[in-house]
Amino acid sequence: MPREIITLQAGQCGNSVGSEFWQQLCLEHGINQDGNLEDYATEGGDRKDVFFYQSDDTRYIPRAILLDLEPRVIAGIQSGPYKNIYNPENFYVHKSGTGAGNNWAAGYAMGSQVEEEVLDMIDREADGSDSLEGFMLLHSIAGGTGSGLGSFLLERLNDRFPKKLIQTYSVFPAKNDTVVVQPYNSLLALRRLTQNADSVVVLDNGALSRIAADTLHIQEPSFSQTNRLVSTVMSASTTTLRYPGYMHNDLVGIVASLIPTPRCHFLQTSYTPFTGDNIEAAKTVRKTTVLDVMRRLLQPKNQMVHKSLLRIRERNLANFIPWGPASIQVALTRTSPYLHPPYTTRVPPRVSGLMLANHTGIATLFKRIVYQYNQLRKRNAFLEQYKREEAFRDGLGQFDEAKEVVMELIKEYEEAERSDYLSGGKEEEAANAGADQRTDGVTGR
Amino acid sequence: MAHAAKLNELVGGLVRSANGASRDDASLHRLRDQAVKGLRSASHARTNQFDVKEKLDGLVEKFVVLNRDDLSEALQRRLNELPTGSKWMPEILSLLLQLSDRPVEKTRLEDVEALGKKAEDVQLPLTWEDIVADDQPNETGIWDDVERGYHSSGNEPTIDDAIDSDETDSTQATSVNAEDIDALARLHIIHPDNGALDGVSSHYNELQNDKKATSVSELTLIRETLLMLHGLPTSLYHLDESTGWVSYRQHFWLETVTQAAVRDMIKRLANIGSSLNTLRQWFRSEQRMSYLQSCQSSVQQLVNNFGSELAAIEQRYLSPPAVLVVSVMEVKREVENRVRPLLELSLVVESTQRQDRQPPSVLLDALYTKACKCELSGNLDSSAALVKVLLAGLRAYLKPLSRWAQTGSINQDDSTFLIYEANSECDLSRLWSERFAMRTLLDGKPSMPIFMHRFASRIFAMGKSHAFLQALDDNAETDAAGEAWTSAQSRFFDGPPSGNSILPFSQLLDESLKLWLTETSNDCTPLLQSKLLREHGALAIITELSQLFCSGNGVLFQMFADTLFWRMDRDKENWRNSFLLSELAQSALGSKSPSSAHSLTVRFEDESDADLSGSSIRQLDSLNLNTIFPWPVQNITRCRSPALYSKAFKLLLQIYRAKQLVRKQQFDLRSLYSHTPHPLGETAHALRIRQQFATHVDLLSAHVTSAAQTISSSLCKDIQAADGIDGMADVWASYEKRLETSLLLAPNMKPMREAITGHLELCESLTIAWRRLFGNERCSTIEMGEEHHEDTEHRVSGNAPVGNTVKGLQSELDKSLSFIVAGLRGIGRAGGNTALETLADRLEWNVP
Repeated sequence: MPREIITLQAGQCGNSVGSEFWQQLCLEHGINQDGNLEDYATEGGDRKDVFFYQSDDTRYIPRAILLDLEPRVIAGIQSGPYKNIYNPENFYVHKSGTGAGNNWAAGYAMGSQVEEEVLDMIDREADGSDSLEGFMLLHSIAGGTGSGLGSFLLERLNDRFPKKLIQTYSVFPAKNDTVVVQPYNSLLALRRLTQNADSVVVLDNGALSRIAADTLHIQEPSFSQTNRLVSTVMSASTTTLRYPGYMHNDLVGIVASLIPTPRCHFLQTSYTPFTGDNIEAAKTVRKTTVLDVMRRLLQPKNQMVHKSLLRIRERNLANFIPWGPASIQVALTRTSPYLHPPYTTRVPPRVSGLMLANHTGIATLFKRIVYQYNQLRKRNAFLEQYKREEAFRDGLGQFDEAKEVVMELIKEYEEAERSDYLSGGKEEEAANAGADQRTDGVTGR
Repeated sequence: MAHAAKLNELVGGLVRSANGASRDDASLHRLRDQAVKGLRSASHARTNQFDVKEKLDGLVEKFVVLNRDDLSEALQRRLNELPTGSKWMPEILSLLLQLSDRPVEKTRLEDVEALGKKAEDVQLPLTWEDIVADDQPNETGIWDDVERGYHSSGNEPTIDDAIDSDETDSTQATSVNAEDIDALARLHIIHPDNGALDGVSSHYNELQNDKKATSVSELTLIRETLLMLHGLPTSLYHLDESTGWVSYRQHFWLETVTQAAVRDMIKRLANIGSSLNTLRQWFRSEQRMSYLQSCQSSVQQLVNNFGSELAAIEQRYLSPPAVLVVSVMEVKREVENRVRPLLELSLVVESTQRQDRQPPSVLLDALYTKACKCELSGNLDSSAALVKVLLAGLRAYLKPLSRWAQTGSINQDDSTFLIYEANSECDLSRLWSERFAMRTLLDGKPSMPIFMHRFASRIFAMGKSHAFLQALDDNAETDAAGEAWTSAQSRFFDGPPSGNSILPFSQLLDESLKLWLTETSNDCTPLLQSKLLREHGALAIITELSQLFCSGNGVLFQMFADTLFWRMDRDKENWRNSFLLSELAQSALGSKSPSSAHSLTVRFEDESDADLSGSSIRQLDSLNLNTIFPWPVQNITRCRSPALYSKAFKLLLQIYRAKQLVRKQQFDLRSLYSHTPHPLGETAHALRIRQQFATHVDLLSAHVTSAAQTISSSLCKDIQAADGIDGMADVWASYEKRLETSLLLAPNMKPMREAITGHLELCESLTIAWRRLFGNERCSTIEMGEEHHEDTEHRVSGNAPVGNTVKGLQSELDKSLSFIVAGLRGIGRAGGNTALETLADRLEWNVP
């Protein structure tokens, strides 16, 4: 009884990240570019059927639906090395091919045009799984398609699959994002993420760039480099699903203790060690222990973000919400044998770790978005293109509603730092700089 | 000259034909001369004909002298007939003379006469077979058995009368049976003439009966003493035949020595004789045990050696050298010197005979102790003799032990052997522990020499390994081993093993025994272990235990548990279907554990009076997942099924049930948001409690699974490194103990276990409170019928008086948690179990 997960990739960013993600999964499971198992991939013990199904000719096909409103990225995938693994029926490119023009409203509006077709694809995939666990949406919230179409999909999925988990991997914009209207798009999408998703894994583009610069020493990271970072994190966060161990073998199990209240479901990830090809030498002299991994996971710099646990407690390496137990879980898991020589030329780190944390610090990110939104909105800049779309026919109420939701979200995260939060009582004195931090999953090798 | 010329020419021809040289060849001369020289050196002088004639004449005469006139005449006749013209006659005759071999004894004249005659001329002697063949005996009557009276024409006893011929029906028997060897032999028996010794015995009787004190010579005394020491009856000493006790007669004296001195000396000698007789009686006694027989033979040899030494003394007096002082003192001194080892032996033998209920190896022990003592006291002769006897016995004693250690077989008839078959019909699962047992003494120590006690358990285990291996494989691998042990045991104690003779005997023996055990053993324990672990799948089964019972593969566990809970929620009356659940367990849990999957069963305790009113978590208490170990594995685990793992599985199921309940609330959060965006009051409180439960359940689950995995993986490692089956069983037992403590399954931890179950039950209470708060239409917490909700509510509130309010639940939770944390910490500290302490720490980490 596999617990299948259907991946939805929307927009340029979502598809690029998704493409990297599938390549990574194929490498880990020993699946070649045609979807067949490599000759050496005989070890078994992994669960490929969570993310793949087998076609009649026993090829492994990703449970992925690739959506975009302009053909460039999807065409790239269709002509790339892994073009053959996907189900050709699961590509959807809008006929007009014009894209959403970095406009949330356009993406959202086009969503309703393509609703039937896309939901048919989703239904088909859902019907093809024995025991569907949920959906994973990969998108960015700054652009038009990922943000707008993604929002639309979240709303529909919420109605259609109330008992299925909806998780998103959402790329948040960096401070100096090239898309000038990203605050509008982000705010609008953030509202749907708050209301219609079960858990949101926040991938901060700014943080990704910082990691690339500080850890990997790449000053101007290309998209493919940051995408690889994201795909590494995604594959690590799904390791326990794909390599069953004694715990955390399903998505609900992982997020259940991470999400205390309906709104506080924005998770941050940390992963260590990130290694680039250019710091190969440094890696060979490093001896990584579990504590190292966990300490590094808790460093703000990595904030893409057992004994060891006790030390964390003793040294106060992490602060926890003052109103609940320190929910910190460590799961050791097997990893793919095919990432080691002789199957690859690179020696992977001995131990690596991923942390999923629900951190109150995330509110800063939301505040930043609201601030930027306020800056634009004050000047009524770039509003024309939005007004043209269906969602804003009746005025700019959408913006205000979205802002209200996000402000409440920020408020809730701030309140969560207080000890009287959820106690149902009156306000007590504020706890000092508490942080809600629950760690989940250290991927040990 | 002519001869030389002819020779030259012939040799020249020979050389030419050999190397193909021409007649003018320069080298031909040289070669020919060389060849001629060679031929000349090989020529011999001719036989001297006169010499031959003289020899032959001498031979004729010698034959006459040796009373072989016939031979002499025949030779003369032939000599006369010799042809005279033959040139080589002397040579021929000389050759014949050389060839002749003791002609007087070996020559049969008939053969000589027959020489030259044709074969048909020689007439074979007529035999009865020929006669019978020619003329069949067909007359009736005359071949019947001859009547006894036939021969007794007179009353004189004849030879025939002496023959005890039995009646027979056979007509083949004749009265005159030339081939009756017995009868012939009997003719040659010379009957001893008893009368010849009459003189001696009357003299002896005179001596015996003569009460009058007589003086005896010193020589007589020596003779009598030596005879006494040989164990023979004498006139001066009295020998009690039944006990071997020797006493001396009072009525004689030596002319030259005072009576007291003589008596003292004689008494001493008599004592020596008594001791020797004790030994003699002992080694003549019948003993059943082979090692005792070996000791007897060894002692006998020593006594015989002493006898030879006595004989040497005797010899001195029988054929004395020119001057010999006859001194009984000297004899006594000499005897005392040589008899000391035998006296020690006699003491040992006597001491062992005195004990009534003695262990069978008492003699070996006594010999060992005595030998060590003698060695320590510098009495090396005695020590050597004792060691000799001890080793002779030990070799025999070790033989059956070797056989046991190498083949695992015992002699069923031997009731004294260390090992006995305690239960030949025992169940295979208890083969290792129950089939064979070690014979022990009253004090519980093994029934074997004390100096071998330290090897007892190893010997015992080695034999058992073989027996077990045979049962495991049914192969005849023991034959080869049987051959090996003879060669190995013969090497036992041939010399000091380390070549260091300064070492004390006890240490030498100890090392020898160690060496013997190593060389003899052909220890099959490693083979047995690897067979058991690999071929018979013990390792796979033990590895799979944690997979099957402790959620080693969480996906399979969840698959089983989810289906089980679905059945529970759907049909609370009839979910206890052992058959269906067993099938489910085999297909879900067992799908990755081929070795144990087929024997997985699910059973319910006391199904009849099952408490259906309890919470679902409580109801899981009655579920038992079980598997049956194959018999080789049962010998390690000493139990048929892993009851402890079954309990662990139950605990995990309960934890997972609670986890599932909490987890399902996750789906409500999304819809909850649309209705109550601001969680306040009870809603907020419920969320908070849910968060706490989610954490606790995760922590418990992580603790149980990781502890089980850790223990299981180190069990696998240690069981492979264990020494023998006993070692493996010990490892298993110690790991079961560890598991029992770590997972709080020990009987004395029942209150803790109850507290945890109670804590988990609170999750069920939360579910009800949750449903109350958020309403049925929005709530997906339990996908079960409305009726069931009511029931659950009723059950839980009936069982634990949880306040229906969320606040009540919170206080229950706090109480329960603090009890659990305190309990865990106490147990963890008491047992040194850091995992439990860590769990306690984590449970209370940041508790508000």
